[in-house]
Amino acid sequence: MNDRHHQQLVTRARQRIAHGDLHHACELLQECLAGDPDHAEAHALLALCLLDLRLLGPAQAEAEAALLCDPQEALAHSAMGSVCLGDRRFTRASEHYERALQLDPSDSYHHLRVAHLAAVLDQPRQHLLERALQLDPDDPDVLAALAEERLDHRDLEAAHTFALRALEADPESHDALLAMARVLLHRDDVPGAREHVVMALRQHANSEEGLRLLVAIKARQNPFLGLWFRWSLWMDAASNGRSVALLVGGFLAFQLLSALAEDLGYPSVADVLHYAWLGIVAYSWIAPGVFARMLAHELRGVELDERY
Amino acid sequence: MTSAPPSTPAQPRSLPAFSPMWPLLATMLGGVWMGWSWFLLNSIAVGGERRFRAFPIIAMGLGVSSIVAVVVFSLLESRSLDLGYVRYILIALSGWKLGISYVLFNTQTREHELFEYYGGATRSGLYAILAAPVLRGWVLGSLIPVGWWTLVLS
Repeated sequence: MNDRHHQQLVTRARQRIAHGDLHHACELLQECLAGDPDHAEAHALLALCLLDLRLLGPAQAEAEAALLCDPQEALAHSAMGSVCLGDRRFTRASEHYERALQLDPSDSYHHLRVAHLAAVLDQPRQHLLERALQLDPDDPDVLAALAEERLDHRDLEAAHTFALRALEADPESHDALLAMARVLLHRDDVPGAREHVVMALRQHANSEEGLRLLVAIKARQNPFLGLWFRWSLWMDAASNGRSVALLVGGFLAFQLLSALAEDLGYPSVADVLHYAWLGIVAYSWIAPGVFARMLAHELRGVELDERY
Repeated sequence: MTSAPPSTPAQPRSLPAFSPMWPLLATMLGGVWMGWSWFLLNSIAVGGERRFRAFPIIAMGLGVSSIVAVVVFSLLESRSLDLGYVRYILIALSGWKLGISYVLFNTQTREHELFEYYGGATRSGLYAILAAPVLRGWVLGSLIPVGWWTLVLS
């Protein structure tokens, strides 16, 4: 009877997690652990909730407890992998994710975690996501992750197809709504993108990703930030090597043209080029600063007066 | 087994951490001596498994810059290089140093994002950036005697 009650608590906690209600999920998991302190799955889920609440130290304690309770629990290894990823111990994270995959190769969640690590390390992840999709063709999280992956490669058609499939699988999926919003933003459909972000924020009002995207949409509509935002979107899609080559190439082109103009007896052209370059540099410094302030303002949310 | 989450903060670090944008700006306004050493300290402050990744990149940047600077100085001393060409070589050298700075910036950005996301304290480097042009003149003009290394560190 007790075991059944504990499992019901874990099931309810999973439902709360799916709806983004992490605080309530933590309470349910703590209630479960108060009755059964050796419940590995509850410890692992609590670790994942705490990670989402950005409590890295407590999350590590819970992931360690989960592994101590049951070293063969795949979710415990996934939780510890995520803790290591948060602490930027990438090799350990990879080891734990691989162990989780060995223990439960049929769960697409573990494949998604490995793909997430690959994304952080700028490594290819398409094959990992496709494997996850084979296991769970209707999982909105997997489909949304594939949409994001395709978007990184500027394959807008495929990204749109995956985002649409994710929304068909679950029209209220937070990740699917955000993936579709990003796709629409890349397609210059700003009202459509805004609509999807607002729907995502209705699900998770404090979603940082959602708020970040909402600010990005505002920036896109702002005449001062619009140009920088388009440039930034384009640069984000480029690989690190290509973006460095572009930035240095731009610098060299302006400097060389300016020097050549001076040497050929056109000092006024050299001056124009010089000031144009300074303007670009100043704009590229100021615009991200303004965007960061807008984002910080949005993330701060509503703060009540201490005397309230 | 405990179920209540402990409220201990992440492990304290002695060096202050900054967004990699500040060392990048410091390189542009203050010079390589300021920006790259800041990148180096920042990678240690931010920590993580790949905190020493900045070291070989900086070593490569300094190595290539030193070779170019020594060659330019020797050619100028032996009067085998026309002064008009020096300007173009210096532009190429600036491009190289800028490229290394962007690589360092890209390398540190992801680490810093994760560090900050999980509550790592990040400071503003605004005052250092405001002082950078003054420090540049003082360090490269007065503190260190002028030589081929000025081209490397500027």
